[in-house]
Amino acid sequence: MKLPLLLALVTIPYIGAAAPGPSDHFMMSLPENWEITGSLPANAMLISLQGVANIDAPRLYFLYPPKWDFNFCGPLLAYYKSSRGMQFTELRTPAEALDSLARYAKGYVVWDRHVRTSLIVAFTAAGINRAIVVTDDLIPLAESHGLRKAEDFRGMFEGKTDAQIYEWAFAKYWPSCNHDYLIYMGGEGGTVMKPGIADFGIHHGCFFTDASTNPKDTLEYAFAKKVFGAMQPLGIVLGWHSYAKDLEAQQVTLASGYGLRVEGLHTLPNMSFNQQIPLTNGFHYRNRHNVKPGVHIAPGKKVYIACIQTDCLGLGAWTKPGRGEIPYAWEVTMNWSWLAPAMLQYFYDMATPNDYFIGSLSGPGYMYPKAIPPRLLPAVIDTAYAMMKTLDLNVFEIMDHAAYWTSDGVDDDVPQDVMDAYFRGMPDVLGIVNGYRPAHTFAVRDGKPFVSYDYYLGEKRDSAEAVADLRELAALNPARPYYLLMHVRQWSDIRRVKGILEKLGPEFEVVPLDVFLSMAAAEPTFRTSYGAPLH
Amino acid sequence: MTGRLMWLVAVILTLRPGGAPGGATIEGTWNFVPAMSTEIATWKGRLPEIVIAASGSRVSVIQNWLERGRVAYSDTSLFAPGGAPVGTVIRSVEWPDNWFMGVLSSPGSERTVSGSWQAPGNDLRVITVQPVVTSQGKTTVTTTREYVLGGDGNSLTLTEHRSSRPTPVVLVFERKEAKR
Repeated sequence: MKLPLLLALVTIPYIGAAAPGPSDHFMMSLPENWEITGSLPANAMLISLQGVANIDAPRLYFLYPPKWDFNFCGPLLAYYKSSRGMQFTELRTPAEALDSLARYAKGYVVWDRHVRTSLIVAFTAAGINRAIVVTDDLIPLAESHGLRKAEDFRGMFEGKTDAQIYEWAFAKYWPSCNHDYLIYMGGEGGTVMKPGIADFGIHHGCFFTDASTNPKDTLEYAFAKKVFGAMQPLGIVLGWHSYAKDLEAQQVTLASGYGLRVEGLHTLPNMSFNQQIPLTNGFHYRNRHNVKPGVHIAPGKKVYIACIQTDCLGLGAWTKPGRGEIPYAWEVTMNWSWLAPAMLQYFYDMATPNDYFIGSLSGPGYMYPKAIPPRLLPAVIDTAYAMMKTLDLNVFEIMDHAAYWTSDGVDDDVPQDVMDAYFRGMPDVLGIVNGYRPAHTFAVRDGKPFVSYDYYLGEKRDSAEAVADLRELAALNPARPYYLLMHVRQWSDIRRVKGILEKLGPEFEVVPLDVFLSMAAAEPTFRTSYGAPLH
Repeated sequence: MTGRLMWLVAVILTLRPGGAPGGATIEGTWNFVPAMSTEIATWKGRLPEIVIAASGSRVSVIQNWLERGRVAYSDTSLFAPGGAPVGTVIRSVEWPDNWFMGVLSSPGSERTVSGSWQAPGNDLRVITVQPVVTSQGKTTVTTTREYVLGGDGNSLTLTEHRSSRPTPVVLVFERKEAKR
């Protein structure tokens, strides 16, 4: 797909495939076990079946287990039932799933349980062959449903390195693969794999890999560069880096260097299904604004706190107790507007007046601005801004860890020219926020503030110490108003956060993010400061 | 947690009326005991290690921050107990005490360190006056660190009072050699 068409997808409402009749929707619960010697073979087969069964209509939906990263599968299923009138037939066993859906597959690919990477290659082969993936013990089940062998990787990769395996797979499959999406089948390593995003990759005929992006892993790093370089500009790397091989910052830095956007995680569920559910008739994304355009809010002599939950909608606190009890801003995973519009509509429909959405993260997806080639940065910003318009967002968030593993922890800042590029490309934003860890870039441009996080509330931070941290920050920043932007990790439920904030006393006030930025624009008390360019 | 730590400190102090057994002093290398300490928030989960040495009239207190057992960051305070504050130029932008907060050190600025024995050889007080940078600009933090040797000679309690922080940070250490 060329860039203009990709951009068009961003701005044109998704229409979706014709929905099948009620009896054609199936749902199934997946177990907690994702071990190669446990339930992974059956789970992988089912997820691959989902990818092929949903090829032209949303047929199969999974309820992932309670400890799954994304915890909205149940609430979203209920939402589909209530908002779309969808009805689902429950499937209880792999055999039942094949009974109902094997007819959409054209064959099976055998992976080698002794070589974990063979499953990653098998997902690629499954997409190309419109097949399901099986281990040898599942072959009889597949064949009993009329499926025939398409590929067999048993014994093929023994003794080979991942770099060798991926080079072989690239030579064989890449010419036939989708070049707009790449699947990073990373996350857990060793004997575990949680391939929640695999259905989407199979659906779209994507190439799968978990090649290391750590420069020290020279061969895999070279492979990662090759495959990134072969993708379309502004292509999407879905999934996640391997926890066993490299760092998130290394993968996102390398992808950003090719103008690619990362869309996590490897566990993102049911995307082959969700992408085909259209918005309800007449729906438009509407944010819960608290500031009227052109109206300035005068601050008092107080400490103002605004809370932002980062790390993607659907991870952590959205479904946990307390949402709506205090003002909270939420990073919107903006690509869901066209990758899974109804899923994003679910969050907009469920939002309370205290839930305020912001655009993220550095671009139309997760990118690091310092690593994006300057010639690509304007297109990145334009694409993100177009999505913000669609999603009624007027605050944008930047994060940059492009020097994460070399800076010893002080690298969340952006240089002046990068900051100016965002303000130029997003002329109507109310403001821009920045960081992940506390950062130190602050400025005001044409009445619009650029504010970095002053505090990171970790999910395990002792509550009494968090209260002391916030009071200490207020003491170290004596001018009033003081604008204290707080990053709340996604695993902190809002009730806990509220309990911390309530202990701070009357000098502190928690306000909606747009109110916070409006006041910061009216009376900034932070010192203008910029980060250094990436070396 | 703080209450429990204060109780522990009180017990340690109570158990050492005659000083540490065998003439043990505060000198040595001290390993952090997280379970007995205030929760700290350090970059990459780094853990502190303290090395205290006395040589002639001078005392050095080295606070290492260990990452996977390797020294990733080191901060040395060198002073003469009871003497005038000693000035040193800050070289790193890192403020290692708490990376959850938007506070940086101020490279090129001077910090001063002074100290005094509260109980010779056993209990030490070190006062650091250091400029830091926050979102509103530069300010100064005075930190008073009380190092108290436990009655058994193998534990060390560091109580840290920052002028900016409403509550103390209490860190408990055990003598490195005592691990055997």
